[in-house]
Amino acid sequence: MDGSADRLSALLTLMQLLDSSFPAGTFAHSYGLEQAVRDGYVRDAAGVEAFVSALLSLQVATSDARALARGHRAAVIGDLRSVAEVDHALFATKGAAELRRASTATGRRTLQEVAAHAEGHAGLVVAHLEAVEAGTVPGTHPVALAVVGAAFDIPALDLVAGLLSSTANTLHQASMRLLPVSHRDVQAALHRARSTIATLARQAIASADEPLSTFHPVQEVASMRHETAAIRFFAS
Amino acid sequence: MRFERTAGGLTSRVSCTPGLELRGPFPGPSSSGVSFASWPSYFLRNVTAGMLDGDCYEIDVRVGRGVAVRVSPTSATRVFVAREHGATMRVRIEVEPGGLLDYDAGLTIPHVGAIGEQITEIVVHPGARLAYSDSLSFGRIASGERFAFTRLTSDLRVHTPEGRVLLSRRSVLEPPTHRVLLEAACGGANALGSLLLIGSGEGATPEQTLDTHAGVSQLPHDLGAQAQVLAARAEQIPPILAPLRLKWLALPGGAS
Repeated sequence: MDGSADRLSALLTLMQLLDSSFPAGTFAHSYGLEQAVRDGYVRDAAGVEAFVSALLSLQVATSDARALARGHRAAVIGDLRSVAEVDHALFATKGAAELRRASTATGRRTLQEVAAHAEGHAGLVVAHLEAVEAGTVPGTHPVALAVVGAAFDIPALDLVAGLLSSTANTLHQASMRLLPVSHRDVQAALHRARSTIATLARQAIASADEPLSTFHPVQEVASMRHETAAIRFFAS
Repeated sequence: MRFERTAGGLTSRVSCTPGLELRGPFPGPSSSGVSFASWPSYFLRNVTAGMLDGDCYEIDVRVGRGVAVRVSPTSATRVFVAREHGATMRVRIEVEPGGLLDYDAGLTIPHVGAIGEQITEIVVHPGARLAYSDSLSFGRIASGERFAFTRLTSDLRVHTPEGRVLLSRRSVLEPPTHRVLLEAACGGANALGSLLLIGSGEGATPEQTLDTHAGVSQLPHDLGAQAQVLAARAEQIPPILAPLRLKWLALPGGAS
């Protein structure tokens, strides 16, 4: 393949990985939004947009995305030991059990699905999956994406932007099942988020070696409370 | 601070960096039918007005085998306006096997223009137990200040004696650039409280009922449990967390 064909193939792979129909299970999670709605923190489309914006800027970009960038850099050179280190580091930041389980469950499913079809690209993915299934690494979703991305020559910036975008999309899609939020509300919010996501993605790549940091207490408290909620539409 | 059990009973060796003063031991309190009378209780006091630009405080607490002790502050820690680097508080806590420490880092109140950094390193040996709590007011709320500080960095790590990180909690709050995002992340609350129950999650199961804006969850690596509270006023936080804390401390090996 020539360069443009390689780039196109990588783009198509990224689109497949982050599509809501990809069986990683992300569609089953609201990442705290369901309980935040139930507790009255989020009441309408504007509230959803504020919740998501804060989550992208103060948590995903400064933690998950940095870990993804670091993991990708290591995976590209086949350094699975460093991949494992960043996987453990990210896992340790996830203090709320549901958010931790959401990340490792979707990460493992991503690896399993790709390993089943990856053929010539499978070596790195299978090696990481084996470590996950052996319990020696946690298998967080961002680091799983990093390994898959490296195996398929997807650039780190594209992966990080894709992670941010798919997180926003997942949460906005969930909001339509929880609140009177329309498709048009969601598309408008995603349209407004586009330039911010591009900026955050570049910042995450540039700051990949900085410590992982998070701050979204509404999400964290809501996730903890969601664990024992009597009625749950989402897994988190 | 070093607390050890010797043939003569509990011994404590205390030395403080200037500005800090440790008072005690006092008998532990009784509350909700749980007596901590056999626990020596110490109070940490900052004899200055608070943390000023350039201040660097260091607190080192080591609890030996078979020792149960409480350490708490006498008042909130105020972080004042900074023109340059700001103020730093470094805390290192190590609890040896069979040791039990109830450590309350207290409430931090950042003033207008404050720059502060809190670094907490916790080393937990197998068989050790630690209750660690801290809370943050998002400013001098009663004075109309909310997210008026410049930057507040908090970095807490729990690791094994071998250095394996089990829990990492780091946040960097910069209201001048993130005010709107911080407001959304805090949902209108004015204070955030946290309680870590390390060494055993028993007694702190998620079934525990807490206040409307509080949650409980199990920590990674079977480290224990944590609770978090979002509150309109910082003084609402301790009464919400107290039942959970007392129940956990009263587990075998703790208070009687």
